Amino acid sequence: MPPKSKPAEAKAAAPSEDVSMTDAPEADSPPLILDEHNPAIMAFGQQRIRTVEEQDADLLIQLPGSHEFAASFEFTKEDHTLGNALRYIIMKNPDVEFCGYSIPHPSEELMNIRIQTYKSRGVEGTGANWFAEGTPTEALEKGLNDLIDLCDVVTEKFQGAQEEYGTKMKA
Amino acid sequence: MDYDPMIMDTEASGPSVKITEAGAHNVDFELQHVDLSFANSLRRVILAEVPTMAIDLVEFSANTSVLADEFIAHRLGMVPLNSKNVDDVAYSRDCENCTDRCEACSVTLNLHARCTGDDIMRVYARDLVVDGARANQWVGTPVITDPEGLGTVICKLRKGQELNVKCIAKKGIAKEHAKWAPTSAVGFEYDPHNRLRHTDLWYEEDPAKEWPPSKYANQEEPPQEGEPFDYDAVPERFYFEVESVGNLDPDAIIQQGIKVLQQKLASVIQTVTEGEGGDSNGMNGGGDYADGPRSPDTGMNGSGWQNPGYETPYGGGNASAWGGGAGAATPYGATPYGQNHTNGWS
Amino acid sequence: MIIPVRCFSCGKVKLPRRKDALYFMWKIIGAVLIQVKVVGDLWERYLKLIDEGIQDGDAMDQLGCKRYCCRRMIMTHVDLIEKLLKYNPAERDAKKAAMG
Repeated sequence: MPPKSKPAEAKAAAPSEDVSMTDAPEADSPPLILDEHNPAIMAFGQQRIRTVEEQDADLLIQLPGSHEFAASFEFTKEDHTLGNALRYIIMKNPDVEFCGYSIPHPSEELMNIRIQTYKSRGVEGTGANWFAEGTPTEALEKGLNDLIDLCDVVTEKFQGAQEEYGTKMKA
Repeated sequence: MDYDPMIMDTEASGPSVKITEAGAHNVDFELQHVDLSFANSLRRVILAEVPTMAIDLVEFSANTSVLADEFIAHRLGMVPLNSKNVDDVAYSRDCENCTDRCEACSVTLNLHARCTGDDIMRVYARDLVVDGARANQWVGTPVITDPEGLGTVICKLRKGQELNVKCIAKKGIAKEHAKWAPTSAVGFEYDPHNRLRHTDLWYEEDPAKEWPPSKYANQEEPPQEGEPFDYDAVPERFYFEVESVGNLDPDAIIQQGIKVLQQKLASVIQTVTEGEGGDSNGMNGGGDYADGPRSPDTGMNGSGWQNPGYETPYGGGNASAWGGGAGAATPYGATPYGQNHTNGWS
Repeated sequence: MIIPVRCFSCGKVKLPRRKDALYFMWKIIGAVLIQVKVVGDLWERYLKLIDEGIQDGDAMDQLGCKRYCCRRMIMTHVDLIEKLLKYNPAERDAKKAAMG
């Protein structure tokens, strides 16, 4: 029994004047369809993040605890893997008053981080009544860098433990 | 902002790792003095985001076996492939050398079997033959661990039946499909005596009698009789058991996992700093982010977030709830902080 | 139908921690080669052990099939493909041709 006609053979048999066929991707290579909802693509696609930062200085004076010291960041295609660890390390920053994260809806690949920093009284006569100890953006950046450093330390420790285990096995 | 998070965590000792058991395909270790959130990140990343190779496309030239094409294609996808140094392989979707796929981003495996004898013929994973060049000498070879060196059964053929397929293996992560999983199990345990009460043990009369002690129960002091509950206690020691499928060495899985986590962080840092340079408002702090710094997704055929056919409340279409707004709404739109500055507290 | 390649739940595998001489030797040389398998390559060896009169549970232990998710893959499997292989159109066509 002859094998069924399969894509590869069908392609070979296609008339050469069939322009659309020759233009079409090879049978073994369907067009690259990138599913924007594919959770994996975040690893290769560009990381996107956007800030929601209140900037109205007037509001700030009237309502301590809001605005210039507070920002929310929205991360696309991130989840608890990054969110929780980042939240933890940002909270370690003494300038940070509050840091929390949430995933607003499980079927949307969005993760939000809220950062609020401590503020100090402004110097009289300078016009500024309050100034931030550090802006939320700085705190976020520091948190990211700290977490990278923590990863480095753990890698190092793991390699050390491996060597130790190796020598123990030989002994 | 000068402080050392490692020191703050752990009174001078910092994180530490102790390997308790290691084999060719598994490693058990104890991670100490890190936060639960970090340990959990490590677990999640090992489980779902370490890249490996797996067959992703199968082209059938002949299949007269009793199994359907898609059935066999699925089975082929599940066969673990050696993924040593997968970093040499590019992701097919963002390979720079080709528009579709090439040697730098895929491995081709051929399988051609025809039964000519009267006995039932078994097609094994070892019959998959790597064809053409590949990124390095390991990547894409089927993992075979049984003593006979046959590998997994892919199909069975009777006299006259034939199977002739070309498989294209690509790099991917388990978040997309479980066939790319580097591990078959990641054990993760802490607080074997449940001193922190993170879990409620079901019981009839006495949980202590009815539940078997954890494997790690002797690693930590059991709570004293009548000891008061310590509300400030946090988990400190995490027991991992990483078991490889065979495509990567277990220690490579862990190191790759940490690396993936760092790459995620690095790419966020990049966006944060880039946004700062280009925008005096800080990162992009205004309300105009709908056409602001959200760069189009690379290689997404122009669809991505601009796709008008897909809109979520957050989703970033220009017609979305906040895309057009002039104010600085937050995702926490209903909170006092999230008001537009046009109507907030002024 | 045919033994699945991987365990449905854990994505496969089993570790034989056999206390046989070979394992002991590996341990001595420091390289503990614990073999890991996909369910797919255990089935035939499992059948062989059953044929030798070994109990099913013991057979799975010997094959390093330790988790109950993996064990059920083997325990509950019915190799129906063997039945389908009895109906072979390729062979039938050949016979028809021979008969003229």
